[in-house]
Amino acid sequence: MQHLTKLTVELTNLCNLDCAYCLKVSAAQHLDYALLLQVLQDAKECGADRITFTGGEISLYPHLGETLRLTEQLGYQFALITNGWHFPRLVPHLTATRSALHMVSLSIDAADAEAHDQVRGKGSFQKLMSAVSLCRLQRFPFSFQMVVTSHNRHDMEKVAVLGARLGAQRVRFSHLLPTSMSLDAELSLSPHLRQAVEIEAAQLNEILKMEVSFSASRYNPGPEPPCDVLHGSTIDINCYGEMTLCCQLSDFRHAGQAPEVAANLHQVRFPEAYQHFLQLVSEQNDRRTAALRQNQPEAEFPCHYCLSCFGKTTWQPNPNSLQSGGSPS
Amino acid sequence: MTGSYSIHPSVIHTEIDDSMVLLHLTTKRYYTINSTGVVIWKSLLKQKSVPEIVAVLLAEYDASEERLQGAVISFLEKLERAELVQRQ
Repeated sequence: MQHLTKLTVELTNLCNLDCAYCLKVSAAQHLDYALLLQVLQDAKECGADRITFTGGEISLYPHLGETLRLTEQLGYQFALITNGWHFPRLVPHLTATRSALHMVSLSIDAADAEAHDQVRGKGSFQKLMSAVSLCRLQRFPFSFQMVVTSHNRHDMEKVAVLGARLGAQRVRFSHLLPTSMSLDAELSLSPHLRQAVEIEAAQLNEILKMEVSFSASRYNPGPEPPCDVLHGSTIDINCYGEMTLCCQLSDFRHAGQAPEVAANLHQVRFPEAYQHFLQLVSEQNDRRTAALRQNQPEAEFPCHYCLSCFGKTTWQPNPNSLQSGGSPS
Repeated sequence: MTGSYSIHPSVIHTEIDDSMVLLHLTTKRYYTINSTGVVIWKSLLKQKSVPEIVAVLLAEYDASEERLQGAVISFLEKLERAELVQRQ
């Protein structure tokens, strides 16, 4: 029996940066604050007690302070993901809601300014390190998260050591989810290399006293649900007020339709939307299980498989794609 | 004392309220400095010499020039030992 425990909430898709591999590209949209208030209350009644706030860049959400205060009042623990550029403006909000703050996740692409700034723009690394300094000063728990690409895969150890020495709680790596054929060709790792970098992360975790891990995008050939989403315990609310299967599928750059949307929460009440979500989860689990039984290797990387099934990587032919008229279940 | 100091290029400073946190990216060490230290650090950012820094503090603090000079030199030597600044 699925049990809701966590929300991922995309507060805005607006961002001050323009990273080439970013999953988002749509016109700016902030999550309707009145809807968010209702969602937080409804989700709490359904059992959720954790939230991860994502973007876009969350510091650009105009109601961030009120949102975090309500989050704390309702008894949630929260984490947030930020590129660190505007971290000083977050500090008062985080100080005021310290008891509910679980983690500040800072996005990083390399352990040095030149390589990091190549992805995120000049001055980004310095801003990131300033954010780290403020986290340390204010005793906010922080972590690094890094998308591993063909450009930075040799920097994994440096990033992990940097995190450990700066006092991070964790460094979490994830695989690139490609948004175009050209980016896929330029930045994606082959399945073999993906497994190699996962092994490196595991080795770093053994060496360092700080946790080093890989996201649910890692190799997983088992038939059991590979992530909290496919366990039915984590739902995504995107900046349009839609409940969707996963924050990584939602509003995917250049994607057309959105079969990952369970319901529009402007129109459907939360408990009903959650039932639609569970139906999507069940269908995707069945699809993946069948693909694994048929020895389809793409199903062994769960996030890549979901992208393909939900029509986000249309340049990669996939008989399971919901968008291509394949048989999804 | 007429020397001058420059900030080490690997040091990132972040101001918050009336204090500042310094992060040395090579040693990966953090330091916090108080409001007086912030005045000195900002003077270093403007490439002021020690006498010029003392003059800045004289305008803000009710203390003798000798005492302020001693405090500035002592502070800069601590920063130098931590490799946060370099003597020029």
